[in-house]
Amino acid sequence: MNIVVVGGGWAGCAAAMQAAKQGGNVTLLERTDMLLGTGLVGGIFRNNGRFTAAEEAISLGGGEMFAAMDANAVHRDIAFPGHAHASLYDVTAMEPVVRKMLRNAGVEIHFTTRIIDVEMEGQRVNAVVTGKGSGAVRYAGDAFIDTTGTAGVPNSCNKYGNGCSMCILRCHTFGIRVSVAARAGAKEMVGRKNDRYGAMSGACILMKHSLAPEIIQILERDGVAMVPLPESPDNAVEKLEGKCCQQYALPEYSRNLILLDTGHVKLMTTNFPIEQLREVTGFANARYEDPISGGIGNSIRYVGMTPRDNMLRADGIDNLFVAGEKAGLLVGHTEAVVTGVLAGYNAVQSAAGADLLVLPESLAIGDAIAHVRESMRTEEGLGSKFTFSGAGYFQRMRQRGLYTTDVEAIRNRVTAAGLTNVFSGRTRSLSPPVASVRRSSAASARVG
Amino acid sequence: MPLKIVDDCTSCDACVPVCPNEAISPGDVIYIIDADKCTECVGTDSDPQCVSVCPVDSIIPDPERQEPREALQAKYERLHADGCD
Ligand SMILES: Cc1cc2nc3c(=O)[nH]c(=O)nc-3n(C[C@H](O)[C@H](O)[C@H](O)COP(=O)(O)OP(=O)(O)OC[C@H]3O[C@@H](n4cnc5c(N)ncnc54)[C@H](O)[C@@H]3O)c2cc1C
Ligand code: SF4
Ligand code: SF4
Repeated sequence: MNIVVVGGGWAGCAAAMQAAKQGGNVTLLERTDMLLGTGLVGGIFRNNGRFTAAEEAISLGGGEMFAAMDANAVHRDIAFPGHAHASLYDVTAMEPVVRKMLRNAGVEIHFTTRIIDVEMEGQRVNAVVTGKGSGAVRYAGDAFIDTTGTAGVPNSCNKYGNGCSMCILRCHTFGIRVSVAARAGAKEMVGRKNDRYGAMSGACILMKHSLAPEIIQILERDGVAMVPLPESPDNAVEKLEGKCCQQYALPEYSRNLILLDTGHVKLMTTNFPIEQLREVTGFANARYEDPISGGIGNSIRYVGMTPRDNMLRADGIDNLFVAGEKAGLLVGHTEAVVTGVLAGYNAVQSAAGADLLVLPESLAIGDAIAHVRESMRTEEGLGSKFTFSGAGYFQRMRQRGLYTTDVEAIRNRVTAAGLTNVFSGRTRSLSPPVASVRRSSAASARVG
Repeated sequence: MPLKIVDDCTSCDACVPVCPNEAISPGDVIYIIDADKCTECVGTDSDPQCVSVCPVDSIIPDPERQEPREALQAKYERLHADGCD
C-alpha cells in the first residue's frame, strides 16, 4: 500500500507516522527544507481543551507526536491570560526530533519537493507530480493525504494582508503552496469575516537575545512575561480586529505585550511596528525572528479549505484525505496532529479496502471534526476559527462535558467508545511486504 | 511570440514594474501576462525585461501564440499610439 502525504506540517507528519504504523509504505513530500510548517514557530500545546484532545489521542494509540512535544517541552503547566495548563515546546529543537522519528518509522521523506499537479482517473488520484515538463517527478500511490495547509500564497498575503512579511513558509524561496485537493477538483472554501478574507497568524517570534536581560530572566523562569504597553488605544484596537484567533481577543492582549518562552520569544500579536515596540521598556533592541518583517504584517491563512466528510475524505475524491488547516478552520498544532492521525489511519484503511473510521462525538476530537464540518457550511462558521483551546469551540467542549484534565476519565471515555489503542497500528512484523515493497516502490519515476 | 507565466511563479511582483506595456498583473494564484499586450519587449528593449528579473525563471514563450517580430512591433506601436513618447 503506497501512501503519499503532501505537506510536512504537523498534520502531514502525524498522518505519515500513523500510516507507517499501519504498515503503509509512506512517502512524505515537503516543498521546503524542513518539516513542521507553521509548527516551526508556534509551540503552545496542552492549553485548555488541547490537553483533553492530546490525552484522547494518546488513549486512542496515536500519541507519538504529543510524546515528542512533551519530551521537548521547555515549560509545562504554565498559565497566561485565558489559558491554563499550557506546555511550550522548544521551537528551535522540535523539527530534527520529528524528522528522526519519521525516518525511524520507515517514512521516506523528500524535501524541496513541491507538488503542482495531480493525475486523475475518474474520482481517484493516481499520482501527484512536481511539474509538467521533463525533470518532473511523479509519485504514484493507492491513497493520498493533502496536508498542504492554508497559508499564503503570496497573492493572498498581498491582497488580504500587508504583503509578504517573509515568514517561515518562505514562498519566494521554495515556491508557493499548491493544494492537491484543488488540483483534483475539490471546490475549496475560504475563511472570511465580513469583507475580510483569510486571517493573519496571531503571533510573532522575537529573537530572545534582542530583549533586556531582566525580561529573558522572567521568561526562562516562568515561561511567560506580561509587559504593560504605554497607552495607545488606537493601534490596540486594530490589532485585535486583525487577530486570527478569537481565543486571544481579550483586553489583556491589547494592554500588554504577552511573551512566551518557546526557545525564542513568542509575542502574542499578529504584528507590531518595530519603532513602537522599541519604545517599550526592555525592547529597545528588539528584533523579529519570524516573520522577519513582523513589524509590518504576518502571513495570511485559511484560504483554501477542502470540503470533506467526517472520515476526513475530500468530497468527491475517493482516495484523497485531508487534515490540519486543510480540513477546516481548525487552528493549532494539536488540531493538526489529531486530524492527521485520523487521515493517516483512514488512508491505509481505504488503500486496503477496509472500513473507514469516524470518531464518535463522545470524544472531543470526533465532536470537533463533525462540528467544524457543519459550521463551515454557514457564513458565521466561515468567519470563526475553531480550536480546542479557546473561543467558541472550547466553550462548546465545556458545555458538553468534553473538557477535562482527568487523564483517567479520558481513558475511560475512549474505552467506553471501544476505541482504546485503535491507532496503535499493526506491528511491523505482521506486515512482511513493507521492507521489500519500499525498495522497489519509491513510487516515483521521471516523466517526460 | 508573447510570453506566459508558469507554475513556478511565486507572485513576487518583480516583473510588473519592468514591463513597458503594463501587460503583467496579479492573477488569482500566480501572476498573469495579457498576451494582447505582450510584445516580448519588441519596441523598447532587446530582451524581454520580465524574463531577466524573474527570480525563478517562470516566464517562457507561450507555445500557443506564434507572432512574428513584425507583428510584435506593430502591436507595440498600436499599444502606444496615443502616447507622447
Ligand atoms: C506564527 C504562528 C504561530 C502559531 N502558534 C501556535 C501555537 O503556539 N500553538 C498552536 O497550537 N498553533 C499555533 N499556530 C497554528 C498552527 O501552527 C497551525 O494551525 C498548524 O500547525 C497547521 O498545521 P498544518 O500541518 O495543517 O499546516 P502547515 O503548518 O501550514 O503545513 C503545511 C505544509 O505543507 C507544505 N506544502 C504546501 N504546499 C505544498 C505542496 N504543493 N507540495 C509539498 N508541500 C507543500 C508547506 O511547506 C508546509 O510545510 C501558529 C501559527 C502561526 C503561523
Ligand atoms: S508571508 Fe509567508 S506565506 Fe505570505 S507570501 Fe510571505 S513567505 Fe509566503
Ligand atoms: S517575476 Fe517571476 S516570480 Fe515574480 S511575479 Fe513575475 S513571473 Fe512571478
